Amino acid sequence: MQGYETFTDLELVERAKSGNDRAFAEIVDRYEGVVAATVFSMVGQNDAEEVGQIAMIKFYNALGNYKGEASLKTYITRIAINAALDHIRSKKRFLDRFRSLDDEIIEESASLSNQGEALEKSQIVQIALSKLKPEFRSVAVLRLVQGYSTNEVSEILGVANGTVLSRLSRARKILSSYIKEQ
Amino acid sequence: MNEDYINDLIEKSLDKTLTQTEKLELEHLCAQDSQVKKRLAEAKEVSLKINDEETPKFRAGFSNRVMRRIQNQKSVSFDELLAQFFPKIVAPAFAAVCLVMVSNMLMASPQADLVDALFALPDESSFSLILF
Repeated sequence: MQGYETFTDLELVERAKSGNDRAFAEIVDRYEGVVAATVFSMVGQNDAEEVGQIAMIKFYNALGNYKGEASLKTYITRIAINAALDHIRSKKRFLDRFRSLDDEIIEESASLSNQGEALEKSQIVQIALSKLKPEFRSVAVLRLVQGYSTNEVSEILGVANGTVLSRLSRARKILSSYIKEQ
Repeated sequence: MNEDYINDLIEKSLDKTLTQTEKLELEHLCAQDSQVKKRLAEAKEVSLKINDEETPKFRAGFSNRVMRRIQNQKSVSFDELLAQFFPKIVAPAFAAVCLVMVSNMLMASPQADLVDALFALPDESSFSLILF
């Protein structure tokens, strides 16, 4: 790629806005790790790639809305979280027609647990996260996996800081008890 | 003590951003209340566990796959193009033709037929004569 690695995020966004797809590809390269960490934890391994791609395409389609008021990392994380929440909601609606989401989560966890000790060891947190309700999961992913401060989480999700703190406390309790069981 | 405040102290403790006063306050709370102590221990344990885990990654070529989908999205069908550009082309063209016709009519002699005037036709090739 024609030296775009040295460009700042804002320079890349400006170029991408004017139709330079190579600049946008550099943004994707730069932030795919952030998107991966978010969507894998939010929707699990099977749907992560699709949701990750959708998040990046949504960002591309709404490039004009980015004015640089938040860091690009925060902005893309917000899009990824919303794409994941949309996906969870639509999947839930679909599954609700046939069975409860809890059944699905238990099945998903069980299938992950059966994939051998090495996999289980590296995915305990992923499985534990899948046990949380989406509103708790999004807080836990942003704070615990991505390392955002509680104020940043509150800003990304558009909820009060007190709500973030209480959801986080509850999520940690569930995660901790699951991790202890393993 | 306010629950949010305790939660905030625990978060700050994990981020190592407690002030000296807050640090003493948290120590005091832990000494007083075993539940707070337990929550702090749980929070540290979960954070350690998450930091131990390998960060998940997409398989190689993620940006290529995203860019391919974007390219596919761009190649819209002829129908979509027509729907998109029809109003932009037809409306200004219609307005321009109307403008020309009106200016023709204004410049034509008062005796000229309306149709001839609109199309700026000379009297001898009058539409009216041909048509009627």
